[in-house]
Amino acid sequence: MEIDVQNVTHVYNAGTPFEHTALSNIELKIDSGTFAAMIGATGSGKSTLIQLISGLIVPTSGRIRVGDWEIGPETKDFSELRGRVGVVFQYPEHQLFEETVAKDIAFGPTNLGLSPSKVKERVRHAMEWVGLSEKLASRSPFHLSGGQMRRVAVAGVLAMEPDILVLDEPTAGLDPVGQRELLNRIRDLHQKRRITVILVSHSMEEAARYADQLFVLNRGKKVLEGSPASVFATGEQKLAQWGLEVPEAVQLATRLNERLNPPLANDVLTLEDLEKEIVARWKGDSC
Amino acid sequence: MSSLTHPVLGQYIPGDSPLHRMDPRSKLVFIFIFMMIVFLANNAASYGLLLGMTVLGVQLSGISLSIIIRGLKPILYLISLTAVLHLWLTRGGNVLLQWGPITIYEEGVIQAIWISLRFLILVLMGTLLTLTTSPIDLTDGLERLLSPLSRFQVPVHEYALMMSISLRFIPTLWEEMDKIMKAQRARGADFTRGGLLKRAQSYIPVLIPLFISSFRRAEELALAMEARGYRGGEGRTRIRTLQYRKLDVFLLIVLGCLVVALLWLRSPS
Ligand SMILES: Nc1ncnc2c1ncn2[C@@H]1O[C@H](COP(=O)(O)OP(=O)(O)OP(=O)(O)O)[C@@H](O)[C@H]1O
Ligand SMILES: [Mg+2]
Repeated sequence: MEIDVQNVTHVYNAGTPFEHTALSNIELKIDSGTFAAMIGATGSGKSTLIQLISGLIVPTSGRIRVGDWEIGPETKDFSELRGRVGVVFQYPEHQLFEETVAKDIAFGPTNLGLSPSKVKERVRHAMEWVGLSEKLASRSPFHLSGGQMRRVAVAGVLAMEPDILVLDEPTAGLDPVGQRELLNRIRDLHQKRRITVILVSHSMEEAARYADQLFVLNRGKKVLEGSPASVFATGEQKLAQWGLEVPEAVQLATRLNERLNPPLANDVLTLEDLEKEIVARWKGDSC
Repeated sequence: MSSLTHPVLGQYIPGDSPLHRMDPRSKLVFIFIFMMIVFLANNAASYGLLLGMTVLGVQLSGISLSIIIRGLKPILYLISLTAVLHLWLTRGGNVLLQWGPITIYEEGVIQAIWISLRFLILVLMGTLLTLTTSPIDLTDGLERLLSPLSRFQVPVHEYALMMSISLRFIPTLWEEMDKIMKAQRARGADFTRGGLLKRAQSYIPVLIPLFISSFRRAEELALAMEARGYRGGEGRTRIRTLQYRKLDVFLLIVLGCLVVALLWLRSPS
């Protein structure tokens, strides 16, 4: 499903002294099957934007089209959209509530009105996708480790089998291995099931590694969009102004390019890319 | 679908009005006495005076009336309900209207007007206090005013601390609840459909996480306080001290005049 955000503005607490414009005049388009990332400093409006896309809040002005659905300031009924867009919130483990892991994961699919046998199957699949062993199904979610709780929460959303999966900083508070593993699983799912993924992150590294399309937000405005390589080509100073840091591998490649002639390819985004480039160059030079 | 972000009744709004600048202790004393003398009013002149004071207070606070009224909405329903009850149940004086089983007496109308006016004045003044005083100032002021009681083994400091922590966490809980509701809605929860029982049940997925996070927060806060060496009120000094100013003296003079004027204006009973 294609997502089309048209001239959207969102104001919190309009008409009170706490009024705050979180987003202004946002225009963006995400094609079906894209792995997109929203990046931006704290308070730049990322969470607000994805809540609008998921139909959890309505815009103050402008329209959002998700597939065949349209959301505007007047929209009231989102029940149709619910099953199609899955949202994993920041610290999703804080929303667990059921007695057992399986029951908690079943909450979403049950709300969709699926039959109990269907629900059971969905739960089993979802646990498999996130890498939770079946033994945990009957355990209380509150007695798991932080990383396991996070997976239960993600499974709860995946069990609804959404066409669009929105993840708000899903790796916050996980250890580096856990971060990698979670995102690798999401990427697998994206590739196998062709779902659209929108990843919110303030790590450029993470965004560059997984996303095909980046959107950079700064103080409620979209300041940049494009492939990771084109976004990094904007330059460190400019990105630093928006509170973002270029990944170390890209920084190193840029420094090397100041001395190398011909320069390295400009699509070096990760440490692995850089390694490949350097090895290729070195081999090329030595023979 | 609105999120739960409308200002809670009487939530502090920072500002620099004369009301903001007054010492919380004098404001507390004023409100305390005011709440008692409201009951002195019993005719148009005395109610008029109280209403005038309230309107003046709203003016001085620099907060727009529409915001105050928005926060008061739930209370306004309550006031209307009380007014209706008084209209219906009070007997005395001439019969003004008779319609089926409902008889409305002259006395009922008068009572309904006075009672709702009294209610409104009380609530407005109370909100003015919390709108213009930060929770910290409020509890500080209360603690200082009540500190003589600690000689009689009343744990004034502890009560004040409890109060300031609760006040501090109301907006946090509110935000948390908003967040959890959104998350569960994203998982297909519906808080608006079905009968009363079904609706109450639909809040279980919200309330359980909310309780858990409150306990977690309380634990973290206790740990943080202990780690920073907090061990009760004894011998504790403050970084911010309260100070009476000219404005406060003025407020207390106004209060004195108000009491005298009310005693003079009210009809003798
Ligand atoms: N419910 C709300 N009520 C009022 N203001 C809000 C609310 N939610 C967010 N804001 C404000 O809107 C702005 C954008 O917030 P948002 O949560 O979208 O930022 P973010 O980019 O997700 O930040 P972070 O990286 O910290 O999660 C912030 O200034 C924030 O204070
Ligand atoms: Mg956010």
